[in-house]
Amino acid sequence: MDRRDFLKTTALAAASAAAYRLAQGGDSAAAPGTRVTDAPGGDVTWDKAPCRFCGTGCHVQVGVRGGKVVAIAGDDKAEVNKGLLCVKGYHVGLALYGKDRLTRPLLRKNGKLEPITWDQALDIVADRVMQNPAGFAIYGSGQWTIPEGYAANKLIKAGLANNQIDPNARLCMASAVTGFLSTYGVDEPAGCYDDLDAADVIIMWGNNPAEMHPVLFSRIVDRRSRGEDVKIIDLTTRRTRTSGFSQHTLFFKPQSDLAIANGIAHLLVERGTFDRAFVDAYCNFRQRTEPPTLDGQAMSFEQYKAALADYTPEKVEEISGVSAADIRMLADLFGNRDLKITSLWCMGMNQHTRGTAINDLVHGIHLLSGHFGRPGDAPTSLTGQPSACGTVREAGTLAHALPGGFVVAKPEHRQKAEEIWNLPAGRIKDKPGYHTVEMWRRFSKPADQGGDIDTIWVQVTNPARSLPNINELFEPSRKLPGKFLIVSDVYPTATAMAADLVLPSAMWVEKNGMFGNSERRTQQWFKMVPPPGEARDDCWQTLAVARRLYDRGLPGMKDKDGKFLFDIKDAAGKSVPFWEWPRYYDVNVDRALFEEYRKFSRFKHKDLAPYDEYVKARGLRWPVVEQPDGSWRETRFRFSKHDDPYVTKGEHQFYHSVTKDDRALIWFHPYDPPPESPDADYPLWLCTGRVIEHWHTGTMTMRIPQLQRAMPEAYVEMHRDDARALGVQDGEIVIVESRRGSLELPVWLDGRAEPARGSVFVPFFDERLAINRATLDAHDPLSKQPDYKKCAVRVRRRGKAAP
Amino acid sequence: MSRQRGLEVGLVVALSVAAIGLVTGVTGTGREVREYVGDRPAAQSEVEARGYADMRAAPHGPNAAAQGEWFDQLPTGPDVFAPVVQTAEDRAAALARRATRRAYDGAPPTIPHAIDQLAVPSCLACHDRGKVIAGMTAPRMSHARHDSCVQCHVVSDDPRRAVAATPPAPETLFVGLESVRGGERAWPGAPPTTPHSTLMRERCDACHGTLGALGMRSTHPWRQSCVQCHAPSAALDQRGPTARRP
Repeated sequence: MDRRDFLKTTALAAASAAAYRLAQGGDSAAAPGTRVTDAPGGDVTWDKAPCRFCGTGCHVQVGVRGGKVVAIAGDDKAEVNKGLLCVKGYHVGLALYGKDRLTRPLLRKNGKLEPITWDQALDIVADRVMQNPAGFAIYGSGQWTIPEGYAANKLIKAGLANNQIDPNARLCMASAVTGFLSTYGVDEPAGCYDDLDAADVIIMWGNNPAEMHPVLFSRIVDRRSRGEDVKIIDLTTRRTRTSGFSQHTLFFKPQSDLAIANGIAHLLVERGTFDRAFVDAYCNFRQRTEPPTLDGQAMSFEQYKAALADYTPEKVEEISGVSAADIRMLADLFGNRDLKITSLWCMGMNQHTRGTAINDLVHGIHLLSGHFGRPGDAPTSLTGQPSACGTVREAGTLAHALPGGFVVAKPEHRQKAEEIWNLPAGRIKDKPGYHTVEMWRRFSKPADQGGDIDTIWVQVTNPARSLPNINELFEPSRKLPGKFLIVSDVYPTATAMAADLVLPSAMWVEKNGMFGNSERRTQQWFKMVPPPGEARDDCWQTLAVARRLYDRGLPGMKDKDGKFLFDIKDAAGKSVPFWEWPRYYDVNVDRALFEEYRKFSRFKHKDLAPYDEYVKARGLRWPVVEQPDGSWRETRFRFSKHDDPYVTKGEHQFYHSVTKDDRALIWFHPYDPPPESPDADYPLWLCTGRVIEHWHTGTMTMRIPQLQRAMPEAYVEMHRDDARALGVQDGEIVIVESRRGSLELPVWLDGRAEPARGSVFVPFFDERLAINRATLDAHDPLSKQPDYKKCAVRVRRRGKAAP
Repeated sequence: MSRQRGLEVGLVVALSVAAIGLVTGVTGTGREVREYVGDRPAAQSEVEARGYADMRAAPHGPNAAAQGEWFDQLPTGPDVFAPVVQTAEDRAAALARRATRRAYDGAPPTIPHAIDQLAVPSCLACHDRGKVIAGMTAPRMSHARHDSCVQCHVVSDDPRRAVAATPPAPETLFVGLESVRGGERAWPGAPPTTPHSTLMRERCDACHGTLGALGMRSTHPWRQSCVQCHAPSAALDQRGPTARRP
């Protein structure tokens, strides 16, 4: 035996002996009492549903036993996620079972929320409407199912006819909408997730999909495991989990994405590497007007070129901090037509006071360089809410919109809607209601100071934490007499706890539903388990209130034949009294509402298939067009002849063109500085956002032990040098304050991400530590979407006075 | 004592120790490894950073026992022919321990140790093939390679190492699907069917191989083609005709 073997043998022996001792010593985790079954899956039934959380639109398989969700699996048949989920998706079933579910309607009496009956609750809502129909608003979100949003929209636009309905999606993707409208004349991406499988280069514009759209991110990076080459470029203001997977991480100064986009366009034009044939055939040039509009003003190519002349790589480096060499690298990529390039973005570009502009510019680079319409060549916005596209953008639950891409301002759109809804002519009003920030501002003001909204009914969202500048936009109304807040929710959220009337809701697979994801995919699921206690579907709540208003004789609740606005018939053609809760599932209300809504979808070529087609599918991407054999075909690449059946001439046809000539618009927008920048008093940038474990304001995910343990509390992420300069330790509680508000937060150094020197990041998932006390309500002039990504703050140690 | 004599004594001692190790390790109970059950991430993060040279000279940190000269020389390939002796109690204990890391059977397990929260995860260094370090098992991952491991697997305790207090865990009424005790057998002695979904669990040896928890191990780990004898369930694997809706 040589020395080496000797050592090996003794080591093995020692290791074995040590392991034996450890194993004999027991293991606290192996305590008895775990439930084990002998029935391999036999008593569990499985059914499909889209995930409840983000806009990716993964399908899950939901395992149900004894009226409860007991397990979740990735749906192997789903094209979006191909059997994979993220940690939130795998735990989505637990979102139903937080211990403090709301189970009874509650009314505030002498400052305290006390249980009342549903009958009383519906009467109170109806009273508020009858008292002042013009001041009654509904505030929802992209978490509404499509039928829920459609019903609420019809109640407001056709019933109360005041157009006072807006969603949380205004805070989330409104700038993406205005970007699509101003560029293509019609909303939503031309491409789809299939582009992620085909692209050679993926550019993340201020986007961190490794945490925010993890399943799509894996769809990209897993290509590398299969030996494919995909280049990821991370344009960012902070180092994130996405950065680690990227070949290029280009750090830019907040707001300067506009300059970077112009720098790329400048080089394409200057070097002649843009796609002249594509531009000549399919594009017009546009510049902004004052005040800005979606149509803008025509400009010639020469004017466009001259406008870009200032944006030399060196100048862009000066504005953005991204090196001139990297700007040239980006322009080289776009100048190469052999590559396929997909751009992805989400809140970074949308939550921006120049959100419409940066959306336009990114579409513009793709059009200018011809990186459009081939699989893998696409500018694609992602959404944060499960049905921001389906319910908000398509069903039109915005203050200015009608279903199907119609707007209240256009007489022909109103007329068509009145026809579908069988309303007397002129019922729908042409004046848009208030956008989100304005709605809440008016709710926060006394009636004699312009506060003409006196009741807001909130469904499926949490404005007490998700609005910007909540000290000014949310909290004042809670002390104002005459203001009445109604909240439908599943948990005692910050908004519910501040409400005057709380309505307990069913959630996700406790009800039928439909969602529409980021890639135009409409999805359907059935109710699988009963809601707890007296919790009931949001859609039922809306329809039951509508019926009560009808019974009280509110004229708007009748169509032009005097029938109830929401008349639903059973198979025998008999009206079903679904407003009585025990009768609600006598008929599939979702199906009835969807079949009515579907009539709107044809005009803007957003064709939806019959409800029953979605029952069979894991979602279908619109336009879904009926084939001669009676089957229904989805569309993956809009405006491109190779896939879109509505393209009738040329390789590409923008058939809803703003300029009515089948051309898309390439916009020029200058770089403008942000409304608030760090200064001597408030020297740091504040950026807010999400983390992978939590979704929106954490009301669901913070009640899921596995997610809450992994990320139990908000924090302020700082650069080590900034912390050192302030004398702040890791873990120390500091005060983060802006001109609008302040809060105390623990510092996390070298944590989930690394902000640039001079900037801090705070996630907004924690209801207890609400960073939206500090954020800015300044918003984009067209989309009205506020900027949560940049404002000026200072950080100070507790006990130290402000400088 | 001559040099020769010294070596002989050393050899005898070594062989004795090895024999004890072999007896306890193989014929005793077979429990030569255990899973890492995790300590507060803080305990790991407080380890002082050192250069590689210093590490070798003075082992430190939670893996101190595994460091030192013999670290690199541990045998890498387990003995697939070693007899596996395991009891029903072993299985119950193994299933109980599994359940502490999963919301339900089939949920991605949480991570029982600290990780770098920002960097691209280096999980595969240990979990690609599985590894035993200092008597603790880093299990092999049960599914095909995905690079963004932290998409599904999150740590099981507050990752912020320096905070003074962490909020309590939320209460939940969720009762997850249990693990199944075992597959069905057509007759005593027949190979059991696979009692769980094999989606994301297609690498049987992750749990049933030589590094698997005792009680769940295959008695014949040298056989590679598990589905030759153990039939997976079409229903659980979302294949074929099922009672569920489409």
